[in-house]
Amino acid sequence: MNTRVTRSYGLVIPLFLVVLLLPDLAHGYVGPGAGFGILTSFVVFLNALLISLLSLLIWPVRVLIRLLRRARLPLKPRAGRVVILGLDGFSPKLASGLLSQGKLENLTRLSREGTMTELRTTCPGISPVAWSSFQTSVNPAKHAIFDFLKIDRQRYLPVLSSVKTGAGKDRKAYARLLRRSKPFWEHLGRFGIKSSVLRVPITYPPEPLDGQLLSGMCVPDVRGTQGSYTLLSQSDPGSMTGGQWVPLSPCGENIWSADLPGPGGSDDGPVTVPLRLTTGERNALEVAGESIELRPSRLSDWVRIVFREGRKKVRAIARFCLYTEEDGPRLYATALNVDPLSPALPISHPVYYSRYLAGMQGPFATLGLAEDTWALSNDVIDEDTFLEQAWSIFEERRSMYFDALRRNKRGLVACVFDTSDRIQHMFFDRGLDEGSPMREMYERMDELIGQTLKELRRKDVLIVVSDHGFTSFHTCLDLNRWLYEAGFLGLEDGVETIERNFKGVDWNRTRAYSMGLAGIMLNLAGRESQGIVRPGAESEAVLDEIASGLLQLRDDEGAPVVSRAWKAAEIYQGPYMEQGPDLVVGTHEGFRAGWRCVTGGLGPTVLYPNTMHWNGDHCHDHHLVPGILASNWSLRDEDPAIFDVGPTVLSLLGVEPPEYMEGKALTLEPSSGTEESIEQA
Amino acid sequence: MGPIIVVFNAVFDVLTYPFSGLQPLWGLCFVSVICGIGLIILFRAASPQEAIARIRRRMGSQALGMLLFMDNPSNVIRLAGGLLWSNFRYLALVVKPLLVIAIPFMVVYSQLEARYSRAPLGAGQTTTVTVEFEDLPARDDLEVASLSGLDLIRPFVFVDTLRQVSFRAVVTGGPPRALSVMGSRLTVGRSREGAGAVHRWEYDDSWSVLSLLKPWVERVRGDSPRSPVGGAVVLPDARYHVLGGRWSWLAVFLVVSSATGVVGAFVLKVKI
Repeated sequence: MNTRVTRSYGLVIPLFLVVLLLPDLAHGYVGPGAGFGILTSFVVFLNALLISLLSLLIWPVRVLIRLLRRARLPLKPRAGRVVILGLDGFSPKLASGLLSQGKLENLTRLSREGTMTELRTTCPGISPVAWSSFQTSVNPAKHAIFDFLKIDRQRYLPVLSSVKTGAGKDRKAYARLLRRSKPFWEHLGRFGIKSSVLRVPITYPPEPLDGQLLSGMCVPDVRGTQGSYTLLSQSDPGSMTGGQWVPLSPCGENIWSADLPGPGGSDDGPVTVPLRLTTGERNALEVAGESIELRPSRLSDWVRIVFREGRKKVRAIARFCLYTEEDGPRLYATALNVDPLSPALPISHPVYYSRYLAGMQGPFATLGLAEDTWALSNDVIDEDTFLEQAWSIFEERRSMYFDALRRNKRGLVACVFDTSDRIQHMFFDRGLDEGSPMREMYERMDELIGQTLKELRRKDVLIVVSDHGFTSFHTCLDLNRWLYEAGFLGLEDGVETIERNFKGVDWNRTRAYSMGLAGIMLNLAGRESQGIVRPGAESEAVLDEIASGLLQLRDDEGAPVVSRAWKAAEIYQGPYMEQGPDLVVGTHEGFRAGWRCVTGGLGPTVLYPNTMHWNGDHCHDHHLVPGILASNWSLRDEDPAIFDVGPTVLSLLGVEPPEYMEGKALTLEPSSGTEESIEQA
Repeated sequence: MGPIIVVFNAVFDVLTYPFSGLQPLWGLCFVSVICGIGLIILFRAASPQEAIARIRRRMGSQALGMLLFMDNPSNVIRLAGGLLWSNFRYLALVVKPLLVIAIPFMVVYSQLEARYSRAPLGAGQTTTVTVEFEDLPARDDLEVASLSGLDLIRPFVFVDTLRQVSFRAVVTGGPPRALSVMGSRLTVGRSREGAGAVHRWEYDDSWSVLSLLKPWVERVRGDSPRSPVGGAVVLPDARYHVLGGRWSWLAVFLVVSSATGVVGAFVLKVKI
C-alpha cells in the first residue's frame, strides 16, 4: 500500500469519525473520493492556519530561548550566516588554468574580491578521510577514518571504515557510524545556532544536531551494498564488479520478464519483484505495479518499488535505462536507493527531513555514491547515460541546497556536491577542452557559485571548499605484488595471484600487506591474529625497508612511481592509530594503487596500465592534489588546511573552537568588494 | 427517457430485492457499499492520479516544513501560503472527477432518497393527500375514490388560489395503495415494502433527463382536461436505529459508502 494513500487515511479517518458523531450535518457530501478530497482540503486549510498561529504564538518564547543561548557565545559573531559549498574533487590547479583563459567568471570574482587558494588536504587525500577531517577538524587518528576500507585484523578482511551494519539480538538491523570525534556543527547547536547539512560525506547514519542533516557518502542501498546496479539481459555478461546480472526471459513477442532482486531476505535468497518489459514501437516497463514508458538510451524517472518480506515492506526507488540491441533488449537498473519519502534506513535528521525534501522536489538519489561509475566502467551504460545521471543528481542536490539557503537565513548551510568528483574520475583523459565533460563540469560549478552569491545577504560568508584536487591515473601499482616480490608477503603453495580478501596469503611468512588506496600494514604480533613482526625496532626496520624499496621503484620508462612514504607516527597522532595503516604511500601523478590490491588482491605484475574508464584520481601523494578554498571574504592567512574550516566557521559565528580541534581559525575579513558583489547579485 | 428510468428503477429494484423482506436499513447499507466501490473506481478513472499523489506529497512536505522551520515565522508563513496554494491546486485537480462523479451520484442519490427517505405507512396511519388541477373542478364534480388499501376521510378542502384539493386518508391495507382522482390512478406511499416511495405526482406526457432525478414522482398521464396535473402525499421521514442513534438515510449512506470508499481506495490503491 502506498504511503501517501496511507497518509491520506490519517486525515480521512478522524474526519470520518467526526461525521459518524454528527450524522445529521453530513449534507455536504459529494461521494467518496471527491468528498474525501474536499474534506481533506478543509483539514489542510485548518492545519496550515493552526500551525501558523502556533508558530507565531510560540515564536517570542523560542526567540527568547535562542537569545539566551546566544548570549553565552564567547566571541562576537562576525558573520550572519556561513554557507559552505562543498565541491568534491574541484581542483584549484585545473580551475586556475581556466581562470587564466578568462573562464569561470564567478570564481574569478571571488579570486579578485575575496579569496581563492589551495587548501591542504589530508594524507591520503581521499574523500572519506578529508571530509571527516573537514567536519571534525582532527587528523585521521582521532576520527578513525583512514580510507574507504579498513582491515579486520583478526580475519584479514577489508571492511567499510565509516559504518558498521548488522542485526541485533532482536534481528533488527542497525547501522553505527564509526567516525569518531564531533562535527563542528554540534558545537554550533550548543549555542542555538542552526545548521543545515546536506550530503556531507561520512554522516551516515545521521547524528542529531540543531537543524537538519541529510546523510551523504556511505549511505547504502536497500540491498545493503554501497551501490549495486542490475543488468537485465538475455545473455550473461560474466562477472561484474559493482553490479549483478539478472536473466531476461522472453514470454511473448517483444515481451520479457524477470525478477528484480531486492534486499537480502531469508536463506532462500533476496526478495524480488516481478518485472515485465515490452519493446517495439512503444517501450514499456511494469515493475511492482508501476508502469512507465522507456525511451531508448535515456534514463527513466525514478520508479517507486516496494519489496515485501513477509509483513515487512522495504521501499526503494530506482531508475531504468533501456538499450535495444540486435540480440535483444538490455535493461539497466540503478542501485535500489532508499526511498526518501519512506526511508527504510535513517538517512536524515530529523527523520522526516528526507520526506520533506522528497515532497518538495520529488524523489532524489539517496545512495552515498549515487553516480554509477561501475556501470560505465563495465560498459553497462554509455557515457551519455552516465552524464545524464550525474547531472540529474546534481540538479536534485542543487534544488535541496537552495531550499536550505532560503529556509536557513542564520547559522550554517553546508552542502557537498559529488558530481565534480565523479565526472573527473570518469573523464579526466578528455581534458578541459571546450565541450568536454570536465569543462562543462567546471563551468556549471562556477554557475552554481554565482547562483549562491545571489542568495547571500550582507554579512553572509560563502566558503567554497573541496576535499582534494585531481590528477591522472594511467598506471596501477600493485602494492601487494611489490611486497610479494620484495619478500614481505608470502603466498601459500601454488598460489600465484589473488582476486581479493587475501585468500591464499601465507600469514606465517608475511611481514606486510596492503589494502585500501594507499596503505601498507605490518603483520604485527599481538595486533594481527597471525602477526609475526615484533613491535619496536623490528617493525621500524621493516617499515624503513619498505619505504626505501618503494621510493626506488621505477616504471618501464624509468620514471619514479612513489614520491613519498610516510610512517603513521609521522603524520597521525591520536587514539585510533591502530585502526590505520602503518605506512602511507604517496604516488606520483598517473600512478595509483591497483584495483585488485585495494581489496586485498594480488595481480601478476607490479605495474600495469589502467584500462578502466576511471582514469582520473586523487589517491596519490596528497601534496599533488590540494583542494580549493574560495570565499567572498578575504583570507589573511597562509597555507590553509581542510582542518581549519571547522574552527573558522565556529569563530565566524562566535563560537570558540574547542581545544581538541587541530585546525586553526583562519582570519577571513569582509573584502571591499563583498558588499558590492552582493548588491550586484 | 422513459425506458431509461424504467431500467434504472429496475436495477435498483433488483439490487434491493434480496433485502425486501428485511429492515430497509439492510438494503440501504448494501446499496451504499456498492455505491462506495463504484464511485471510488470512477474517481480513479476520472482523476489525474499521479498529479494528485504529487500534490498531496507536496502538501505533506509543506506541513512538515512548517514544523521543521518553526523558529522562523517568515518561513512558516511562506510555507503556509504554499500549502494553501497547493490546496487550491489539489481542489482544481479533483474538480473534474467531482463533476464526473456528480452525474451518477445524482441518480443514485435520487433513487436512494426515493426509496429510503420516507417511512412506510402502516395500517391505521393517516396521511394527507393533495391533488393539483389545471382547472379546479367544482365541489360537486370532484370524483375521488379509493382503489385499494385506503379509506378517504372527508371533508375535501378546496384551495382555489392554488387550484388544489386536500384530504386525509387512512391506511387500511396494502401495498399497493391507490386512489382514483377524476379517473386517474394515483399511487400512495411505497408500491412495495422496502422499495419505492411515491410521494408526489406530476402530470407529464413527455420524459426528460431530469425525470431520472425524480424517481419518487409518479408520472400521471391525464386522459382528459379534468385530470389532475400534480399532487403530493405526506409521508413521515424515515429514521434508522444505528449505534443507539436515529440516523437519516443520508447519514447511513454517507458513513457506509465512505467506509467502503476508504477500504476500496486502500485495496485498489486509489490516490484520493
